[in-house]
Amino acid sequence: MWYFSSGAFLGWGLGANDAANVMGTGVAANLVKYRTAVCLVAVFVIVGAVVEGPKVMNTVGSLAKLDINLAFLAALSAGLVMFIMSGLALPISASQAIVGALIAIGLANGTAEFSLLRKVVLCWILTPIGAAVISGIAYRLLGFLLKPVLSDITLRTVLLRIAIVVAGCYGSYALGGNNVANVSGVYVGAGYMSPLGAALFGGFFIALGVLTYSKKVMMTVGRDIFPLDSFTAFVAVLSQAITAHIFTQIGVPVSSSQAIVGAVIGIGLVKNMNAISVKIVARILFGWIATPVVAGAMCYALLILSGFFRA
Amino acid sequence: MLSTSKEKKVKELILNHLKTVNQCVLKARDCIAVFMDGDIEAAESLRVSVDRLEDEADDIRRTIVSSLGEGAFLPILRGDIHSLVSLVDDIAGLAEDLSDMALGERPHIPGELIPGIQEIAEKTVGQCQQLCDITVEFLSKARLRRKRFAEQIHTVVTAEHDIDEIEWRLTRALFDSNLPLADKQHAKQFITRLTLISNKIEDASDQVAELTIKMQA
Repeated sequence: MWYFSSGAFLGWGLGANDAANVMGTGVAANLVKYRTAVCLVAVFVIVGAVVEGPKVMNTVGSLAKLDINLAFLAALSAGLVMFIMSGLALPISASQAIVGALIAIGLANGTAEFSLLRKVVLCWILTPIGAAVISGIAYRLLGFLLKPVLSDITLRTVLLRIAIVVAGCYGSYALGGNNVANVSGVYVGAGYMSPLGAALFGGFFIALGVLTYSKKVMMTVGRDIFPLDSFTAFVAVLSQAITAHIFTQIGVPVSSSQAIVGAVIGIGLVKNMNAISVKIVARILFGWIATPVVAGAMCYALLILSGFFRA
Repeated sequence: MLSTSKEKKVKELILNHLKTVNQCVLKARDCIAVFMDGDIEAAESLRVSVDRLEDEADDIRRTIVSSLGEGAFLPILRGDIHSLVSLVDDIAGLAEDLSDMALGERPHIPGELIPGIQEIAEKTVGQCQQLCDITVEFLSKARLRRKRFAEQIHTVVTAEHDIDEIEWRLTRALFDSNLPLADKQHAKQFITRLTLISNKIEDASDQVAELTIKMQA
């Protein structure tokens, strides 16, 4: 059973970090109470993980040939990197961490699936771009369709209160569906769990992270996103959820943080604002390159410590 | 989440606040008119009414602020609504200052300046009514007729420019007169205090315009 402890740890960290992207705006703006928000996120993460999660499981499980020990090490490396980098307030994505760890294992045992890796990396690059395109279109379209409602100060308040919570629930569903494979896909690859069992396991621990340790990140991220204005925040969360949902259908785990950054950029471009800063691009590039490299190095170090190369 | 009771309550309070401030400006106009006519007793009674209305407006403003704090409207708009209410409340404060100055300090106003001062007071009253109309339209109508709304805002701005012109004319006439310098400066202070109301009304109408821009998705 202890083999699964690293996946549980990774899931808990993912839940604590990523809940902010979907419900942070609502909580930071006092549109929904923290307790209500985390309960909604937890429920929808589990539903998303069970309904959509199996579509991504095989991708994560096939990046390298795994046994249960290697699956444990991969999840442990990704979990430790997430824990350390979050502590240092550096941008971190569980998807990029687990893929880095799996490629390190693949290089070590000569089973790395580089064709699959190319697909995954392409999806990572397309995540912020796709989110930007979706948010730009959604901002214009919803702005046009909802104009009569948004022009009335009372109706606007009610609509956006509901919309932000609904988008948050959809975002949680998409988060669970897309990211659960990061937590437990390695156990499917190792043949120790069925995709559905892995989805339940991963969903449960992501939800546990949301319920027990997400408040600080939620308030920080929420306050960063929300000042844009309520309608923009709603479109950003919705676009991030749509992006994650699309990549789930393709079967690739992506970063919800990068999706929301892309969504905000897309809205900024539509509003003719100077939305792309060097800092934002640097954060995204850091996620694409540094996270998998650090996670891969961590995994490689754990492989050495575990005596993998002596066997 | 679906309830609009908090918003409805704040809307009613804002409209009530505006109505009170508008009455306060009307009473202040009447107060200085009878003061300049020399009817101090009537002016004093009106000054008391102005003070009472200013207190009432202040109480309503405090209720609005506490209702906003309880979660009425989206957080992003709360600061702007609070600013609007504060600006409108300042109008009542300035009206009270004016009537207090008239009765407390009793500046000597030369007869030839009285029509100009009354003209400023009338324009200020009209401007305040226009601010009420703009705010009511903003709070009550789902789809603002933007062209008409912009014209209403422009009317408030134009009135403020007109008042500035009259103030300049009055200032020149005052300092060309043979009054002692102390009387000239005292009368000038009185005129300035009157025109400050118009400036504040313009600031409040600008705030409504800013809120309208923020509401455009």
